[in-house]
Amino acid sequence: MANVVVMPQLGNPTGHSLVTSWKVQPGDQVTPTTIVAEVETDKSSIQVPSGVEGTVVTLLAQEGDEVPVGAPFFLVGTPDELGGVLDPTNQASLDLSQEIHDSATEDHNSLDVSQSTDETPAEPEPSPQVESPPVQVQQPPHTVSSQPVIVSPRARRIADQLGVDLSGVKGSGPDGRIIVADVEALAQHLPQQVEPPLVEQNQPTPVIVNQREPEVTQSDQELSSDIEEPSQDLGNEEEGVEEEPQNPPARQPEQESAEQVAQEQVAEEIVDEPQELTQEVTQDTQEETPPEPSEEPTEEPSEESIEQQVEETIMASQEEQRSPATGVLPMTQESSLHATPALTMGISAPAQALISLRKRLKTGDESLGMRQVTITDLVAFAVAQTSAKYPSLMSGGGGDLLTTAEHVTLGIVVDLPQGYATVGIESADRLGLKEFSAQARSLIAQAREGTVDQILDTPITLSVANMGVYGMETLTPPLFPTQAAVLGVGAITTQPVRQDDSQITFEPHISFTLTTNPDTVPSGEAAQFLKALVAYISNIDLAILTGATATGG
Amino acid sequence: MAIDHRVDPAQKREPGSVRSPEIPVNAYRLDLIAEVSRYTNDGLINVLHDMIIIREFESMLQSITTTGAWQGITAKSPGLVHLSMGQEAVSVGQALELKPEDLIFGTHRCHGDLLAKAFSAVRKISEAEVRKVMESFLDGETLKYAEHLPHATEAEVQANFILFGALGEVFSRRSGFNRGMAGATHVFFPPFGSMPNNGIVGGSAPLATGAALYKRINSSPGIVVASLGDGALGTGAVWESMIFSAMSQYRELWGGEPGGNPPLLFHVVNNFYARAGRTASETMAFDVLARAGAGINPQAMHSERVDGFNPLAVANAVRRKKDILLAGHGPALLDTITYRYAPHNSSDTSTYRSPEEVEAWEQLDPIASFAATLINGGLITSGQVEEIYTRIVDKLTQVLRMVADEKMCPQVDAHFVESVTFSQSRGDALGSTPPELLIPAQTHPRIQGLAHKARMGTDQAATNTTPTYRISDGIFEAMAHRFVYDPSMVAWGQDIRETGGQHQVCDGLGELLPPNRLFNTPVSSAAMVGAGAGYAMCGGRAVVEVMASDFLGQAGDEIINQVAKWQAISAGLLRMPLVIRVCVADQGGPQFAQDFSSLISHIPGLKVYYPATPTDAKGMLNRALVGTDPVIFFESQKLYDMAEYFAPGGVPQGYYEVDEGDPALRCAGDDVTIATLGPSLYTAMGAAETLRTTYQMTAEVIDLRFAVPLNYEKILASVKKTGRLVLVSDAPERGSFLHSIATHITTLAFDDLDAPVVVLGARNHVHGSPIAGESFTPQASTILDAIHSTIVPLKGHVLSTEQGSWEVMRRSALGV
Repeated sequence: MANVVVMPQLGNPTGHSLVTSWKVQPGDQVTPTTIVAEVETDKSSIQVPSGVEGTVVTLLAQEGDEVPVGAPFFLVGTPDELGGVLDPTNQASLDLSQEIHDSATEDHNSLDVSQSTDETPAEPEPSPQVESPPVQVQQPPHTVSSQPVIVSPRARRIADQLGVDLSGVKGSGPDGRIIVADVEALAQHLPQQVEPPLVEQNQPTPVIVNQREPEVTQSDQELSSDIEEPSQDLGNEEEGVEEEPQNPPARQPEQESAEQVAQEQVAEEIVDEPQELTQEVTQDTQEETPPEPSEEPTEEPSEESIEQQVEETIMASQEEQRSPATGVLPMTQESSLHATPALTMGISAPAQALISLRKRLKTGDESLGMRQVTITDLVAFAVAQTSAKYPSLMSGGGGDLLTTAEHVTLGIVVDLPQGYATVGIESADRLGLKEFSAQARSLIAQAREGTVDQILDTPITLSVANMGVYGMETLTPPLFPTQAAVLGVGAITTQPVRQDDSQITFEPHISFTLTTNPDTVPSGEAAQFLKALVAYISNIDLAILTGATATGG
Repeated sequence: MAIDHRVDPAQKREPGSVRSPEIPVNAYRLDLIAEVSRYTNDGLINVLHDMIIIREFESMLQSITTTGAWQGITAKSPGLVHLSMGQEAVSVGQALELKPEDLIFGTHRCHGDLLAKAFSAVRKISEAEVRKVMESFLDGETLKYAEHLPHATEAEVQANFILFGALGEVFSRRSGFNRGMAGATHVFFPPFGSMPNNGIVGGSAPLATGAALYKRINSSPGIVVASLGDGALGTGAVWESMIFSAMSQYRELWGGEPGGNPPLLFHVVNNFYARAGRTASETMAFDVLARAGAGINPQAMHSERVDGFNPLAVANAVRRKKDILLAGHGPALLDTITYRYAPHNSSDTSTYRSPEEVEAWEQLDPIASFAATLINGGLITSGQVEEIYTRIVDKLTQVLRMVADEKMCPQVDAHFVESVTFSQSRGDALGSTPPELLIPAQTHPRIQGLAHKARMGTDQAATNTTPTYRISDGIFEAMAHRFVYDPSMVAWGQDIRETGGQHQVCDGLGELLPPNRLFNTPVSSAAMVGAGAGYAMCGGRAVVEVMASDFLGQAGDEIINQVAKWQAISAGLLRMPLVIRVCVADQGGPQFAQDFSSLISHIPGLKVYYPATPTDAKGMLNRALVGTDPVIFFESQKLYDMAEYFAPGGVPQGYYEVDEGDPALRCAGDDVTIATLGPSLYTAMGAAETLRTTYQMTAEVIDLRFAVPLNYEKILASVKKTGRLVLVSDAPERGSFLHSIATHITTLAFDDLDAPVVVLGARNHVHGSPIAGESFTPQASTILDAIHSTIVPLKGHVLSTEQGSWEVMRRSALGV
């Protein structure tokens, strides 16, 4: 039986060994000191001795291949082993060599990717398929990438907490293990700088980022196929599992850049023509100048129901223009909806009280410190207050183990140029509005800057995602498996309301779309929660004042 | 004490010859009148009675183990039993001359010895004293059963107590003499002088030596008997014990009145078989075993062969030897011939003895012949002998019926065993007499000098004029302290008295203490350690120094089967206040530098301490010397001269203890936890420094200092913080105790781990050249390489050792 000879260490510090030329061929006799090959390392070119005695049976690498220290290099045996399966003229052994060559070059290639491109060539080719309509196909999350995810238990836990998706990620730990530092970097959109062993020193290790398809497109598709009317009071109750799009959302450069452009266009639109948008959405709004985020808010009082949303949009777009797209995408449709059954229902709430309260806070005394409170803050606050009453909404944990939390840990989904991040506010139901808002503001700002560094003691019970800033009316943000529910907040729109005297007035309404896991949250309870939320929002000033969670009507 | 030890060449080279004294063989001649006047009629009838009890007790057990019943009572077999039918005269004859204060350490064939000793004891002390013993034993639990059994007199209660306690123990009942922990093989009862009976052949000898030492040093009355089989003469433990107990220094160097050697009788119960091996004609060469004494000292250990078929011959011999021993002229040796009728034990079929041979000995049934002697002497009638048999069988039937009732006599539960593994108690002074000191401690130069030593290694620049407090000082101070406070504390080891033992750590103690508290031993590791156990189980504090951990093998049985076990087997009635100080030598080569801390930690029943700083050496030895559990106290020769670098303020003055089981946080960090045992602490600190300066990582270094017991909280908290753990010691990696910690931490903190837990140790092969430690034990570079390969890559790090998966697989496949 021929023996495998591995690439020796030879004082090669990084282990990088490129075979420049072979000095022997199959059939040659070698002694331990026979030079078999010339190999290039980081430092210099070295001559590799055989180290063993015998007949060279097969060369396991080709010139130009990268053979790491310790990896099989060539086979040595006896002359009668030539001509067998290990005969270099034998197809099987040629295939073996080719296989080794391929894996050597594949590793080499995969290590070549720098993070300036957003490509993630862990798979040989990206597969373009967004255009095709979604087809119901079961795809468990881990087959999204062709390679299994190797991750330390601690890193896995933190990734779960932060909502970081690890599929397709190659880590910087030994053997490509994803370690905590990688997850933290992903969460902060920063590339990993630490190199793994056996990588050429000068090449930064790329973090392969899982590009997420923008939610917008998916929603649109679903809307077009499933939802007839946006934001009705009755909501759209869907039974059963959401249809799942077939495509893995990763690695569609053309698609993303198109979306990116679309978003930028939307943002520009908003920046350039705020008034237009305002008028579009509500009849009663007056024009107003959206303030710079760094300035004191100084706009004139007006019916600015859309004002905060516009403001946030502008902030987002400006942020986007400032910081390059670095990408961190904690959730994918696949990883959440494929793993978890989902039930979505929608409802809209009268938003006048909400708008008024927002205005009063914004124009209130500076010393109150409440001027930064946003619509998102108010809605999230309302969700925290109301959800605490519903045990199934307080349950999470995922897997077989459902634990019921004592307090609400509220997630706020922050929209970023290339996806989302979720920040968490612990014991949200115990905070006053001021403190809640302060935490939310701070975390959201960090997320936008890419500096968020949260490790939560308690997992997020449910999340709020506000897509109203983009004018979206209904949406189904993905439900992360460990959370009980996710609430999509839609735009404030004007709806006709029949008054008692049969008059029709047009009142602002805000839409909510709740996605829950029907296995853990009974649909009745979900509906009750939504109604309670509506009641709270409808009279939010009184609700906060009385400090009581409104009971659903 | 100046003694002329000069080795005079003229004298040594003088021609001459060596003679041994004549060794008497079967010299006893019965003089019944004399024996009657010595023991009285009743006394001799009691001898017969005790022999019959033993015979019936053993026959009962034989019936149960072979047929499952006796006298119509069914009972589950108690397991392996070693029966002594045929040897009754030896047990009873011996006990006839022993008082409760005389101790017997016996063998697995112990029922006869125990019953004889117990029945003899209750006759020799007052009824009130016996009652006191019965009432206090297990808080009167066994007595309750004794009183529940039928009885007409107090003597019968006593008989019930002895029989129920013994038989209950044989059947592992919780109210038996050892709460069922000892069973048929070891059953013993210290209040009547019956000490641990050993399943290990020869195991009694070192223990008995220690007990005899206790009596000698603490002027405690009585003698000690090591009851052994003829096969035990094959063991090193027996010969080492003979040598140890025969040392000249007891007479020449030690003082005391009457002074002399420890009062130890080696009573060899010679039934001519060590199971199947024939000691007389096959496996031994002595021909007459009594000859062995001539190899030990000029007195040939006052050796005799005695006819063990006549209880009076045995009593006569024991009495004469006892007198010799009490005069300080021991040790003594008796070769008492006897024969066992039953096979070796209940799983043996005795096919190695011819039926003719067995029958010939059965003709000489000691009970029948002694009864005949008494009947012929007119002391008893054969009818009365029958009555004795009947009464005894009735009594045993009652007792068996009760013992066999599992509901009435339950066993202890599993938790109990755990609870008696360690005594977990403290004893500041295990004696009440004033401690014997040669000079007052306040005038001892080294003791006084300690207070003036620099408390920290960094206190003033190292100058020769400012001595620094080192680990060796910490050990010395702890020893001195306990010597001053505990009059029972004694220490021994090779070369400990004049030169202070290994690395001169105890230098100066010889000026403080008389030789009966600190003495040099022969190179007899088994006897040294076993005697420590015997001394401790008698209630005194013993400290034994083992020169190098490599030599622990020579005391293997004593550590594994004696020191570690008797607290538990005695169900907590015996304690083991014994500290064995073991030096892990440095640069001594393959047989003199091994760290066996892991090997010892593997043995249940031992506590294992391993300090690495002077503060800990003092505080941990203080802790060990005040506890009552056996502690194997490892000391690193590499560190004897190490000063204190960690404790704020340096080594505290005065007395203090380190909490048992508590690891020490040496430096805090966030990126990786490094836990060490022994001198690896300093290796880890070196690695931590490199991590900090070169790789901008902070390491949290934890000094375990204890292997058994060990609290995990600090380690867990650290791993939850850093997510990474490396464990380092100089013990060979394979089977390292650190793997135990690693697996537990992996289980307890699995979701907090960012990488596998790494264990580093010495290479799994012999030490290279004696002075090359570099490639053998883990260095700072090894730690860094391990972190780089297995935990998190260190930017720019260059490997100097192979640590990857390939290497692990390769080493394991080759067994290196």
